[in-house]
Order: sequence, then C-alpha cells, then structure tokens
Amino acid sequence: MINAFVDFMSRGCNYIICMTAVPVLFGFLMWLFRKHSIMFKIAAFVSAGLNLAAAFGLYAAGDVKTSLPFSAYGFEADFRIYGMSSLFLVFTAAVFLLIAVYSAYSVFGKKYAGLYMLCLYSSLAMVNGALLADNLSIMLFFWEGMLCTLTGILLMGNSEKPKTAVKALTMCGISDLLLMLGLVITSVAAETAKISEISEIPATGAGAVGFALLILGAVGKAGGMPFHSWIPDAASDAPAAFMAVFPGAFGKILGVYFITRTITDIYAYKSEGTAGILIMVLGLITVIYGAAKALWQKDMKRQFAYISVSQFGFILLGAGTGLLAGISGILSGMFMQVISITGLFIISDAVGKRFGTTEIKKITGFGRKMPVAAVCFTVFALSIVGFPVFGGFFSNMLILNAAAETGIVYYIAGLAGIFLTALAFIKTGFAIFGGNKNQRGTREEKKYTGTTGIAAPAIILAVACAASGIWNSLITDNIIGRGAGLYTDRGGWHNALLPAAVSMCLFASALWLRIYISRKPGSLSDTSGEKKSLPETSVLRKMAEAGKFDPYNILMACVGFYSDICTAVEHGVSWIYDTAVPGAVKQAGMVLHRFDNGLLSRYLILAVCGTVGIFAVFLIVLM
Amino acid sequence: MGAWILIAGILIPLLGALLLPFIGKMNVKARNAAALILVASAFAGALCALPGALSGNPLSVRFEIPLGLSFGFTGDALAVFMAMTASFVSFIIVVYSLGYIKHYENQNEYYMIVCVFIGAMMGLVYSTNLIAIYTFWEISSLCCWRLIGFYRDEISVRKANKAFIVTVLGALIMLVGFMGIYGQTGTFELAAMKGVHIPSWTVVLILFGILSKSATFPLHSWLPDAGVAPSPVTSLLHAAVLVKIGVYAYARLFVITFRTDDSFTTIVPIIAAVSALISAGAAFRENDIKRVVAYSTISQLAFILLGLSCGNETGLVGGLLYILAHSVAKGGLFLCAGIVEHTLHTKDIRKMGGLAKTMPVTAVAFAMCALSVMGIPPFSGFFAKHLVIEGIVESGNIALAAVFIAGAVMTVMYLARLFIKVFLGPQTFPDVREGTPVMTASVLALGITALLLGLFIFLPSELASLVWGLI
Repeated sequence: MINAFVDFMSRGCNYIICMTAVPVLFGFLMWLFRKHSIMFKIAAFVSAGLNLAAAFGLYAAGDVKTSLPFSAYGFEADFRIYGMSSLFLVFTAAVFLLIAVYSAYSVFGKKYAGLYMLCLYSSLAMVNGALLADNLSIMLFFWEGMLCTLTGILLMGNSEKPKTAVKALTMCGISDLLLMLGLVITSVAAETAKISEISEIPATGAGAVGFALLILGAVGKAGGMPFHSWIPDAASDAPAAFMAVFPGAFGKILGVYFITRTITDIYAYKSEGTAGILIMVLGLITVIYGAAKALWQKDMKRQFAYISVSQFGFILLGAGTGLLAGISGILSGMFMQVISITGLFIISDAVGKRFGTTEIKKITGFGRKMPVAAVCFTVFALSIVGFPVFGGFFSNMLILNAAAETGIVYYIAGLAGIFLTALAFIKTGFAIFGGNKNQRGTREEKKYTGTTGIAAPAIILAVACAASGIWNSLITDNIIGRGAGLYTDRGGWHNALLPAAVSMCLFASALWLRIYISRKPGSLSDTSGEKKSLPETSVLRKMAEAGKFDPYNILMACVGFYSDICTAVEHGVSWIYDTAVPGAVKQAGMVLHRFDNGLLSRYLILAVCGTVGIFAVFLIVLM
Repeated sequence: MGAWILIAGILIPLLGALLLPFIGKMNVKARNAAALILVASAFAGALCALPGALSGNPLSVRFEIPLGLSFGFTGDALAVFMAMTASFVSFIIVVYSLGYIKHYENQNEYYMIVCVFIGAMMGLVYSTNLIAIYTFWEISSLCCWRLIGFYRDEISVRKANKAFIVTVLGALIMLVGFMGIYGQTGTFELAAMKGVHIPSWTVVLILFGILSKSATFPLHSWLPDAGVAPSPVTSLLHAAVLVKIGVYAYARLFVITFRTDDSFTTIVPIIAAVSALISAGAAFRENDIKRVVAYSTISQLAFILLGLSCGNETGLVGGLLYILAHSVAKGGLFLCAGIVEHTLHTKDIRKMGGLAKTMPVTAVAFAMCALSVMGIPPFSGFFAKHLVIEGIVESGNIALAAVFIAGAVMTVMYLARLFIKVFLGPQTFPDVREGTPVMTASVLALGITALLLGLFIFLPSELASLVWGLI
C-alpha cells in the first residue's frame, strides 16, 4: 500500500496537486468547520497529517520531474522533487502538523478563525509550491504569493491598527521585488529559468548583482536584517499563532532553502570574495543587533521575535563561509531554529492566554503555575544558545567552526552573539523561575483553554530539540547530510568536547554576569525589565526605542522626502499647463490684437506670412 | 463575410450610439439595455475575430476609395487583444454606470458618448491605415472632452479643455509625423510600410502624440485633473480605453510596423522611467483618492511603455499583459473610488477611514485590484510586471530595471497607504453603506477577474505571444 501511494505521488502532476491545490482545499474545509470545535480540530490534525504523509511519499519517490501543460509565456510550470527539496518538504509538513493543531486550538472561537486557517493552509500551499518549483519564475510566484496571506493574517483583528500589516507588506514586498530582479538577472545570465539546468553561474559582473539580490530576497523572507523590523511589531499586534507560523517557521524554511540552493547550485560562490565578506558581516550584525535588542525587551513575544532575527544571523554566517561544514550547519541550524523558535512562540501564546499578558515583569514566577511550559522554555532556550546535549549546540558548532576557518574575527563575534542571546534568555528565565511576591499579586489570571492542543505541540518540539542533540549524528549526517547531498561525517560528539566546553563557559559567564548585575542597584536589568541602562547607552537606547534605527522608518522618511520633491516637480509642470501657457497665449493674442490696426497692408503682411509658413511646413514634410 | 464582423464591431457601437438619446427620451431602461448591447457587440466582435487571430489568419477587410487611397481593418493578434481588453472592461464600466449615473442629468448624452468612444477605440485598433487611426484617435479626444466636462461646472469644463488641448495638440503633431512618413513612403497603409526605416524626426513627432495620449511625463498633467469627471468616466479614460490608445499606437507603429533608430530603445525607456518615478512620488503625497489612482495610472503606463519599448519578445508580451492586467485592476480601483466618493461625498482620504467595516465588498474588491497593480501573485499584475522587468534585463539594461523595481516598491507603498487611509483605521463614517448592488457587483467582478486572469494567465499569454510573430 505504501509502495502504491509512493507510486501515485511520483506520477505526473499528482504531487503538484497534492502539495499545492489540496492544502488550499483543506483551508476551505477548515473555514467551513470554523464554528464546530471538534470538527475544526480534527480536520486540522487529519489534513496536516495527510500533508505529512504526502511529503513522505515524495521523499520516498526520489527524483521526479513534471511539467504542467498550461504554461504561460516565460512561466514554464516545471516542478521537481529531489533530495534537498523533499527534505525541506517533509520538515515543513512535520512542523506544520504541530502548527496546524496548535493553531486550531489557539484561534478557535475567534471571529477570524476560519479565515485564519484558510490563510494558513494557503501559505502551506505556497511554501510547498516554492520548494517544488523547478523554474525560477514559478518559484517566485509561490514565494511572493505568501505576501497576500501574511498581510491578510496580520490584518485579522487589527483593522484599526494596520501599521504592522503595512510594514510587513512593504518590507517583504521590497525584498520580494529585489528577489524578482535577482531571479530575472540569474535566468538571463543562465539563459534558462529552469533551476535544474542552472549550475554555478559566475558571481561576477551582472552575476554578482544577481547573486546579491537573491541573497537579499532570501534574507527578507527569513526576516533577517534589514527587512526584520516588522517581526517584533507583529509580535505585539498579530495573533500569537501567526508568530509561530510565519517568522518562526515558513519564512525561515524558505529563506534557508533558497540561500542554500543559491550558494551550492545556482552560483559559483566563493567566500574569499567581497560577497562572502558582506554576507558574513551582515550575519554578524544581525546576530549581535538581534540579541542586543532581545536583551532590552520588556515583552516576552518581542524578545522571542528579536531572538528569531538574531538566530537568522547565524544562518548567514554559515552560508557566508561557503564551506561544507557551514552549509551542514545552516541546514541543521534551520531545523533547530524552526523547532525552538516555533516552540517559544507557542509558549508565549500559552503564557499570554494564562496571564492575559506577555510582559515579562507581570509573569514572574509563571514556572510554578505552568511547569511544563517552563521546562519547554528552558529546553528551547538552551538549544538556541547552543548548550551541549541539545540540537542547537551541534548546528552552532558547525557554523562557528566554519566561521573560524574563514576568520577568527567571525568566530569571536559569533560567540559574542551567543553570549548576548544567553543573557537575554537568562533574564527571562529569572522572571519565569524567580520574581517577588508583590509582583505575583498583580497577575491577571484568566481562564485558560486549549491546554492539550497547545501544550502537546510544545512538548513534542521540546522532545525533538533534546532528541536531535542525543541522536545528532543520525540527524546531521544521515537525514540532513544525505538528503541535501552533503555526504559528510560531521555529526556526533567526536571533536565536540572543546566547543562544548566553550559553550558551557559562555553560558556560565552570562549567568554569572546576570547574577552579579542584578545584585547591583540601578543595574543593566532586573527581572521586571525596567532597566537603568548605562549612561553612555541610554541615548542610543532611547533613539532605538523611538524607532530611529528602524529601517522601515528610515525608508519612509526617505520616500517622504523624495515624494516632496516629486510633488514640487508636479506642481511646476501643472503651473506650466495651467498658468504659463494660457498666459503666454493670452499675451500673444493681445500683441496680435494690437498689431491688427484695420489697415489692408497689415492684412496682406499677415496673409503672406501665414502662407509662407504653411508652405514651409509642407516643404519640410515632403523633403 | 467574416471580415464584416470587424466592421460590425466598430459601427454598431459607433452608429448605434446616435440612437441612444432618442431611445432615452422614450424609455430609460431601454436606453440602458441598448447601451449595454452596443458595448457587448464590440466585445462579441472581438471574440469572433479571436479564432482568426490565434490561427494566424486574421479577419481583414479593405476598401478602395477615390484618389488612389484606401483603408481597411484587420483583426490580428494585437488588435484582438486590445479590442477584447478594452471592450470587456468598458462593458463592466457601463454596467457600473447604470447605478452611478442614474441621479445625474445628461444621461442620454453620457451613454451616447461612451458608446461612440468605445466604437472609436474599436475602429482605432482594427485600422490598417494611418489616417484612419488618426481619425478615430481624434474622435476619442472629442468624446474625452465631453465626458470629462460631464458636470458642466466651470472647473470640469476647464479640466476638459485642458485634456482636449493637450491630446489634440499631441495628435496634430503626430499627424505631421504621419505626413512625413507619407512623404517618404507614398502611402498611409501600414502593411505597405512594414519594416521601413523612418526618419527620427517623424518618430519624435509621433511620440509626442503617443506620450500625450498615454499621459507620460511631462505630457501627463491633464490626466490627474481629469479626475473631476464622474468615476465611470475616469475609469474608462484612465484605465480601459483612452490612455491605452497611446501605448497601443506605440506597439502598432514602432514595434510591429516601422523600424527606428536604435537610440529610441534607450530614450523611450528612460522617458518611461522618469515618468514612473515622478508620478509614483506624487501619488505618495496626494490626498485626493482619484488623483492618487490617476498618478498610479501614469506610473503604470510607464511600465507598459517600458515593456513595449525594450525591443524583445519578453518585454512585448509583458507590456501587452500589463495592458490587460492594468485595465482590469485600475478600472476596478477607479470604480471603487467612485463608490467611496459617491457614498461619502468627499475625495479627501484624510477624512476617510475604517470603511472596510461598512463597505466590505468594496474593500475586498479594492484590495484585490490594488494587489494586482502592485504585482503580487496570484494576481495578473505579477506576471506582467515580471515579464516587463525580464524584458528590460534581457535588453542588457539592469540599471533601468532597478529603477523600475524602485517604481514597483513605490507602487506597493502608495497603494498600501491609500488602502489603509480609506478602508482601515478608525471609522469616520460609521453609518454609510455599500454602493448600489450593480456597482458593488461590478467592482467585485473586476477584482475577481484580476485574480482569475492571474490563475489562468496562460490564456491571454498565448494571444499576446502571437504578437511577436507579427513583426
């Protein structure tokens, strides 16, 4: 039966339909069941389960290519399933199963529940389509199509506060348009848009521009700098489930998938060049900026959003090295980040539902009320900071080793990023497990529903985090390495003792610093998040809090200035039409009127001049 | 016999329109029905010509007239593509007008002029002769003048005069260019001039007419001002018919028929780039809903011109698909703006907000059309924009492509701004309702069409890609 299913999936356009059209149909089904609690949740589980089964079917089917018969000019509908895409497909489907169940519990009962699930499933169809596409233009179709669903979800329940949705649309729209230009340059350089026929285009001249734009497009989708600023805002405004899905999972999956393909297949990338340095520096800036911002946050969801941004910096760092270890690291890192960050957002949703807030100072001591969530949080946090035993340790190790091979500066800066991330998590951890009694008294407790549906995905993700550390060799070498065609022996504990020691030292230092500082009055941060920052950083901090460094605000200011110039030009042109030309005509008329004195001689002069003029025009034309 | 379908597609709306005032005096409903039939006949004519265009054997008819002159009509791929696009959107606009215009005076004249206008458009796209093209061109200018000045108040008349003077002056200058071509070739027949290299000065003169008609900077000023007209008129002028005449003429003359100096493949895209960027910047600061959409039209027309002028098949197909996608989506935006204006009695977006709650259908239709104009999948605008950008990159001009990407970014920004100002945020008019059913159905139809065209883009794409074969 399994063989028959695999055979069915690998035939013709069956897999395209199963992975792109069927999820949309499931979305409509969810919309229909939006008012039936049991059916809504069962349908979410069953549909996402079927999607996972289909993805496994494709994984087993091997390399399959299909072209749909109805292709538009320049948009040949070519699709292909092979090692790397099927690996991503299965991972997406597995995460989506948890996300769908969690979302069904999280949003059920809300006015927008049906529409939310429709958008969610449509997004899954887009992600699947982008992973399966074997044509750059078709890939962009699915890739950019997610803008609609992303904006739609952000607007749900926020129609009176649409700023975040517009910000997301603008920032993601810019990155997608840059990607469009990059894809076009790439396909023109390769003389084909078929991805499987493109191989190692030289990243020089126009190719360098194309390469840079592809990377920027992928960075934008994954929520990396400088396209990141909508993510923390979404953490405040959007439904909590949204954060787990888009910045947490889908965006990262697509971004990493395309970066990997760009570096390994499409372009002949070399880390020694300017491009390599730029990517790695961008990665490091993202890591440190994101972690520093996370440290400053007072809200748990915003903190996790910045952690998500920061973590993507590691992906760029690994990608920038262009080394096999780096590529293995970013694939492994992407899997671990998606698991951990999705898990963190699920926990923040659970906390929000329980306490009515995710503000750190108001949830102190929640670990005692929600022990499972607290344990899951600890697992995710330790995995992200690369604490040994958890899966994140191995991905961080691979990336940092590759960075060290490229330049020791990158390695040290990467460690600094991990240190800041650890500090941020420890701050929240203190709130979870510590706090004082007075603060506990201010909690606004609410009836907490959907415990199982929300807790179960978080627990499964936490187990996955731990398991991927314990059986790391299996995951890094056998599943990721072979699936992506990177036949290496990089997983496991051999050669991991020194990195493990470094990681533990970093964590211990962060813990010590946190304890030391919290004992000093007026220190960097207390558990409430109401920091008294160092005087020299306070100005910068105020500017940051006012959004002065937000790329979106800078962009809007520039566009506003540019628009003022355009408006002035426009007024100038209108003045010519509305005032200058009519005025000149009127003046000419008055002159002619004065010239017309009623004498025959004047009429004759006018008639002769006019006739000569007409003849001149005809002569010019006919000559 | 089949070729007479083309003539029917021109003459039925053109001459039938003259009967509308008489029918209107007897029975208003009969006049409305007759107007719809006349416009539908134009679409039906184009539809009948479609098989011929697809097979490469277009319907053609030719008449000899005294003095050795002749004129004719042909339904080749380009003509049919344009005719179907214009007549389909015009039909929806006329349906919308049934709800919009019913409270105003001069309805008989309105429907008559609209039908003449559509007939002139059909005549223009099917014509195989420069003088016939010029004649229909000027008929459309006359119609435009009457329609913009529909309300007959001082401002409307002044703006109508402005549009008339700019477009007619442009057309006259273009006529001098036509005369110049006649001086060189001794004929006005396009078929006889195919592949002829024409002097640059004639190209410049003809471009003057084309750019004034397609409202390209700096000859664009009349278009935002034409927003004083009723919304169906602005939709007809700005989206479906009038401004598309210019880009159609560009495709017909400079892409398919004549050969020009290579320098024009650089100059025209640069003009288009300047037009796209300045109008996009102006749209971002404008607070009049119809003027924002009008500036957007100028900006998007530049994309069309870019596609048509980049000298390769990809750009041409992209430009043509852009004409289709833009006609549908921009038609929808203007009609949505009309519903809002009609209901709120203001065009100032600073006074609007939260209309999505009270006018959800209009809001959804507006969003769909806006997403198409922004070029976001799965809407049709995405495919067109992608091909246009690909066309310019294929022609080796990456810098210009980057400029247009900046224009596309601006498009996203000003349309997003417009949408949130009008439909989102706090409610300023909590008691308003949707427009009439026929109006809301019309805008929704255009929004859905924008989506369906994206999902089934291979259908128009097949016709558009045949146009390259005409060269």
